[in-house]
This record gives sequence, structure tokens and C-alpha cells, in this order.
Amino acid sequence: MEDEHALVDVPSLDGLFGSLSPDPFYLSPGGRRFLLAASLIAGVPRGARVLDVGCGFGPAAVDLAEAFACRVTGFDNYAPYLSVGRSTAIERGVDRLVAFRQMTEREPLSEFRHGAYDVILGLGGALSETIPGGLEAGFAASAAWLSVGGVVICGDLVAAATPSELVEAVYDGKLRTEAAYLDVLEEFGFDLIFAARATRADWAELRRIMALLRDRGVALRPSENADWERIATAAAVHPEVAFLNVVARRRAE
Amino acid sequence: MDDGAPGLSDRSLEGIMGRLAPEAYYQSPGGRRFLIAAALIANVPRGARVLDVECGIGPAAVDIAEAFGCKVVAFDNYAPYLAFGRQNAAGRGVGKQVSFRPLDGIAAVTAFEAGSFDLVLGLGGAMSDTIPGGLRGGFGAAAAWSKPGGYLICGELVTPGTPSELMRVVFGESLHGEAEFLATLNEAGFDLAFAARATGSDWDEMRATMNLLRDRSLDLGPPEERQRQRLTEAARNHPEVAYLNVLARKR
Repeated sequence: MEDEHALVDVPSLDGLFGSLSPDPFYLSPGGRRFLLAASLIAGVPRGARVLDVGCGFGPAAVDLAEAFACRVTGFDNYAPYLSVGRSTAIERGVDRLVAFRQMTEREPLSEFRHGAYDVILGLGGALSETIPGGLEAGFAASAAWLSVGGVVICGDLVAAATPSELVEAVYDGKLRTEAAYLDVLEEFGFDLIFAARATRADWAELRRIMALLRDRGVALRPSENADWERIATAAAVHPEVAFLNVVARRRAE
Repeated sequence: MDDGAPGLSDRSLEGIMGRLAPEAYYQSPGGRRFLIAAALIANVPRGARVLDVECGIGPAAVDIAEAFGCKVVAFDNYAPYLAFGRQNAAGRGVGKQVSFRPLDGIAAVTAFEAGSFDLVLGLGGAMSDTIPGGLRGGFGAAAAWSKPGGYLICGELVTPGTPSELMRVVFGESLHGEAEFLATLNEAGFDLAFAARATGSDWDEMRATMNLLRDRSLDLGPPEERQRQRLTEAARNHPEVAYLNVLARKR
């Protein structure tokens, strides 16, 4: 390649991958690979301010801090996950960049300043599961927390097309179609930049991480129990269900 | 953004797409969006040397030339496509950066020097349809043409699991399992960098493009090409079929 033209200050996905810790513990299909790809696609700058919604163990918070020197606040309602997150941040030398906070229900809505973030993360269904009010409330909060032009990077289970009655019953009527999910995103003031359905390899990576966590005796959140894992594993090969990862930008008012 | 944080980079997908011509003419799900996203993920540098395999009407060749200043060689065996591509390249001001060549897959294998391209493109099933030997042949040729560390951006209809007998009848041996597709890529000497299954809106966009091309009475290729396109359009909601777009790097 013509080195004189190379954009040496911009990393590639494999360059970033090679520089990060090998065990990221994402509980979401696509996990690290989509997060970093989305950051490159959206042009997330070094030093961006990030809010990680329902951060879990904080793999995304730590990765963005390490890869892009982002200043990240991650919140979750499950204290054991936050402890793991803090330890990971220290081990990886980014504890000054990442703050983990325990919060429940509506607390985050009044805690974080509007327009104060460049990036909102809501991986693994966090935007629909964290703030009371489901996906609409998650996108509304994200839009409020973001500066204009900021990006949301999130993912959720969706139905590839109109779900059958059986699948509706399994997911208690909460499984949206992909089109409905993207409609809600648009309705709350976001323009889609890029969306991708997870591949079989992404699901296999999730299963590998779950097994690794089990082997290490890590206590999972009560809602992330054996039934949850079984449904997640089954969804990987079910033709009606897909995992959609999305990066979108907040429009100007 | 306030508080001293740097602004979002101009090198973003929407920033680049906003500067390109609105009509993209891609005949595969994901098309332009995946191409530009993959190029950003790979950090394709300005001036990179690109080979576009079975380029069709050349939308990817023209876009990558315009967006990243690449020097592109594009080949296809269907002359009307190449004529359209040349016209499009000239119209978009990249006629000197893009060279369209009439070649079939057999001739292409020996037409290009080994290790001479930074990026090989094989969108719309070109990796399995063009070079003798099917997918294995296509990936093998792409590996030969690529420099070490060069990238491949390609896309293909796949089946998420094992294809049923009916799907084998419809698609013959051309429908690969997703895992098999990725394993073949790996065997040919590529490391997967990023893979994404197309979304419903990617399929809708492709269908809109096809309708636009039909409305404009564009020659949509020989009969087998039209049949393949018809099957691709019909596969949108079929549970046994997905469209996989891939970015991989030669080891």
C-alpha cells in the first residue's frame, strides 16, 4: 500500500483486537467484534465520553477505554458484576478512565446529565431491559444523554420476520420484529448507520464465554440463569430469531 | 460535544456515503453500506490497489475509487455491464482510476500478478461463481492475488445450518453452510476480521435497486445471471437462507 497516503493514526479492527486482552466476557452475540467495528464505522474519537447502560461485567466499558482512551461510566444493578468490572479495569490499566456505579430502576434517568455523552452502549439487550418502560424508554434515555451527533451502539434479540404464535409465547410477546426495532430507533431521533445480524460464529463465541464463566465459578445475575442460557443457545439456531446489532447517530433536534 | 472531547470523525460511514452518488446500483444485500463499513474497519488507505472480481456494472469499483482514492481493476465476462461501469466511472470523475476488463474466470486466474493487490472485492457471490473450482477456487485465487496482509471483502448467500434437500435442489451446490463458507475462507489463508448477516432492510434496498434497474431497462445479464438474481430476491424471508457479508485478511 502507498504508505505516504496511509492514515496511520486510525486503527483497523484486527489491530485493535490484537492489542486487547483475549478474554472479554461479553454476554452478547457479536460482542467485542461488533463494538469495535461500530466504533470505527461511526468514527468514535479518542477521549469520547461513554455511558454503558446495564454494563454487566463491563467488557465494553474497559475495551473502549483501552482501545480509544474513552472516559466511561458503566452502570448496572448487580453488584457482583461491577466488582468484576472494577478488577478488570485495574488489571488492564484503565481504572482511571472507567467508573462503575450500581443503580436500579429509574435512578440513572436523573443521575446523568442530558447531552453529556458522545457514545451510549446498550449491548446484549440492555436498552430494552434496564430502564423501566422497555425499549422505548431505553432509546428515549439514550437520546437524552447523548450530545447531538453522538452514537448509540446496541443489540437485541429480534424476530427476523413476523414471529409465530409459538415464538410469541416463548418470549411472552416481547420479541419485536427487526423492522419494528428499527422503527423505534428512528422514532426516538436516531439515524441508522449500520446494522448486522449476528452470525453462527458470534453465537458460538457467546456459548464459549458462558462455559468459561461457569468453569471459573463466576456467579451470574439471577435473571441470567440456566433457563436464560438455554433460550439464548436455542435462539442461535432458530430460524425465526436473530440477534441484531446496531450503531446509530442522534439527529439534531 | 462539550467538555473538551474531540468531535466525531469525518471518517465515518455516513460521512462517506453522503459524499457518494445517491444511486448505488448494488445487486447484493448490504451492498454499498457493507463495502464502505468494511473498508473503514480495515482502514483501507488512500491509493490502495483493488481488484474487483465479477464486478457487474461496477458499483463497488467506482465507490471504492471515489471514497478512498483507490486504483481499481475490475473484470467481468459480460460486456454490457462493463460499458455501463465505464460510463458510470467517467460520470463520477474516477474514469482514470478504474479500469474495466472483459475477462472470464479462467482467464482471470493468470491475468494478474500474484501478491499485487491490497484489496480484493467479491460481492454478490462472485467468489463462488467466477473462478473454476467454486468457492474454494475463488478464495484460492483471491489469496494468490492479495498481498500478505491484504484484505478480501465478499458476500454470498449461505444457509445458517445444513441446507435441506429442497434448498439443494433450488440452489444446487452453490448454497454453502455459513460455517463451511467461513472454514473454506480460513483454509485459503484468510483470517476473518468481521462478518455480518444482512438485515431485512438490506434486502429491501437490493430489491429497490433491482426494480430501478428494470424500470430503466438495463440489461440485467445473461439468463443464468437473471435466474440467480431472482432466487436471491426471493430468499429474503426464507428461514433456510441468509446473506453473509465478510471482511477477511490474508495471513
